[in-house]
Parts: sequence; C-alpha cells; structure tokens
Amino acid sequence: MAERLNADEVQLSVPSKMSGGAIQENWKLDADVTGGSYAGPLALVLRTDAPSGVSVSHPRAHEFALLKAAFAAGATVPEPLALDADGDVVGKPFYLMRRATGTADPRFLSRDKALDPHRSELTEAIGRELARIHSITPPNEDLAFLPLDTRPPVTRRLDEFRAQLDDLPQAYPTLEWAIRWMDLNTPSNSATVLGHGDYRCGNIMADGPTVTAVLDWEFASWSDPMEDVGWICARCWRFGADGRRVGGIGDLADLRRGYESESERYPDWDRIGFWEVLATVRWAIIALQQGQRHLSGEERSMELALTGRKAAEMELDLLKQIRAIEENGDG
Amino acid sequence: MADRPNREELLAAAEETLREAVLPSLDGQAKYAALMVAAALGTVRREIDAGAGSSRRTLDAYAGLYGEDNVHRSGQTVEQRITALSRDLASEIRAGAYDRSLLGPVLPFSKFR
Repeated sequence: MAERLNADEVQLSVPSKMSGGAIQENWKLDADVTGGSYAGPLALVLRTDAPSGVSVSHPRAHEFALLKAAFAAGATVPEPLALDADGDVVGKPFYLMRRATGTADPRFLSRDKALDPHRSELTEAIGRELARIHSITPPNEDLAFLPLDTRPPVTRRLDEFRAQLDDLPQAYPTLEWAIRWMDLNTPSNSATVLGHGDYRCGNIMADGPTVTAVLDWEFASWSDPMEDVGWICARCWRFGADGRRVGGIGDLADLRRGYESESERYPDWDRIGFWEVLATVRWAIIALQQGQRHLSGEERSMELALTGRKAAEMELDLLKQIRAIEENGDG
Repeated sequence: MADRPNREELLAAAEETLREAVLPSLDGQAKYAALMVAAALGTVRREIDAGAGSSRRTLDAYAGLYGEDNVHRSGQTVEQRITALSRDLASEIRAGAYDRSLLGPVLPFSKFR
C-alpha cells in the first residue's frame, strides 16, 4: 500500500462493511499516510467480490481500469488507488479507492424538496460528467477487455435482448413487439464511446448541486452516447417523480446544456424517445431475470419476486411510449 | 367455498393488520421487508378482485387473431393456452409477420380512424 502511494508509511483502520451489494462487497476504512503526495488522512473504500458473487459484470481488475480511465478523463469518480488483482493479500481480488462524500439515495435525489433549489445545476453537472465519460473512445489499450463489436451498438443490444428472452421459460409478446419496433426505427449510430451502462440515481452521488462521484462501473461497454441518456431518462428510473425526466432529478434541457458545455460531440438528442424505449425493454428483461432467480430457487427473495412482476409495468410503459412517439414524434 | 370471511376478506384483513398494527413499530430492514410483504399481498388481492376477467380478455384477443378453435387446441387450462399462444405470437412478431400493422392495436385513436 505504502509503495502504491509512494508513501513512507500507511496506517489502516479496521474495515467495516458497507450496506448493499449482492455481487460485490464494499468495506469502509481510513488510512493515515506519512510522506508522499497522499500524506495525511485518507478516507477509503475497499471493493471486493461477495462470497456468492456469480455475475456477468466486470471483474474487479477491469472495474479498476475503468475507474482509472474515467478519472484520467476528468470524470468525478472515486480516485482508484491500489489494486490486488490476484487475491494475494486478502484471498480474493480487491481494490482501494477514495471514499466519496454526498448521497446516492434515489428517494432523496428524486423527491426531497431540500434539493429543489439545486436541481437545475445538479442536472447540468450530471450532463457534464456524462460528456467526460463519453470522451473516452475506442480503441483504448487499457480497456482492451471491453469487446469491440462490429455491429452498431443498437443492433448488438437488440440481439442481446432476444437471446436473453430466449433464456426465459415464458415468451413476452409485448417486449418482442417493442424490440421489433426498434428494429424498424433504429437511429443511425452517431458515435461509439465508453458508455457507463448504469448511469442513474443510485449510482450517482451528489451533494447539493455538485456530483461527488459516479459509481458502479460494472456494466460499462462501448456504446452509443444516447444509450446512457435514455437509461437515466427512462420513466423506471424517475422514482415516481415523473415530471422530471432526468432520473427524477431535473430536466433534459439542463442535462443537455451540461453535456454540450463539456463536449464537442453532439448526440442525436431528438431520438431520446427511442433510447427510452430501449432502456425500458432492458429494465423489463432484468426484472424478469431477477424474478426467475427467485423462482428457480437460485436465490429465494421477496424483493426478487416483486421485481419480476415489475416487468408488467414496463410492458404498459412501452405501449404508451411507442404510441406517444408515433403520434407526436420522438423527443 | 361459502365460508365467511372468505379469502378476499381474510387477505384484506391480513394486509390491514400488517399496515396498521405491525409496520408502525418496525424500522430499517424489518420495515422494508414488511412493506414488500404488504405490496405482495396487495397484488394478490387485486388479482383476486379482478377475477377471471383479465385471462378471459387475453384469450378473447387471441381468438380474434387465431380463431376460437385454435385457442381451444392450444392447451388444457387457461394458463397453458395463454403461455402457448404468447409463445406463438412472440415468435411471429420477431419474424416480422406483423411489420405492416405493427402499430395497429396500439394506435386506435388518431392514426387509424
């Protein structure tokens, strides 16, 4: 640790486990660093696999590389400090990063009146962060583990959705219908950039008008810049604050202003409706997969069971969304 | 079953008790778990209230698409029929069979009037 931080000595506190994370564990600890550029107290998080961590998400070493790339691109992420990819120290791979302040609580960010004076500014900041993340483009040697597909990002996603639906024991005509509609209404691919993959309330930490950290990089992939925009804007991530399109936090105009102040790249904002449909299908499939984890006995859980039934809400949403787009145009 | 309170009434009583007598004294993880149980009971109660109507409407719609005979042939129980017919419809949509009228039933008001 001292070696990684170019310090003379590092004293570590006893770690305590933080809440959340079925696939990963986060431990909170504090360091006292003597010497070097990190000298002084250092608030840390240690992230490692949970014992039952079966996942399709990126292993810790990849997450660390993603954090490094995002940090280097100027995005507000917890500074990644040290990685043990082989598990030599605690028996499984882990990495250490700086601990961020602020809150990621979706209920606070979407509903609390205390945030109202800062909503516009915070949403703009969320747009700026996204533009910084999207400034990372392929090919990138440090991110060589991310598959670079020859298909356009939308085509790849729709193929993935169909394969995921085929793995479920039942068929879902409404989801197939939405996927077919997307097949026939695919936007042209404006650019391929690093997509965060789960950019929404819950993974964005904020303190008033400021973003303090973008977390959870496990679903990052090369994608169209609008995929992240559609994900954070989809109704399922507004946590009941439907009038605020960007994650229940603020307006799309604010997000766009922030994004464009930071980027030379102009995503096809006019097709936001399409990307919300894609996000809704993705979330419906995740919900069905979670319900299936409960039903199969892999992980019995009231929460997973209820999530499975959420898919029906997404189906209704899809009918409404596609109808609205066809009647009033995208956007 | 003619016994009263019947299943709907017992379920409603269970949900009320959970919300009024149990939930207020809970917090943290236990409160979250109890809220989830209340949500599950509410879903079941609404489904019982809705009765067989929604399954019937689904099968009627399939009859309109495939014919009454084919609906009957598709399975023994209502559940089996809906499962089998949904599988057929899903694969037909995927194959592009409805591309020309993809929005037909979804846009009944403005575009198709």
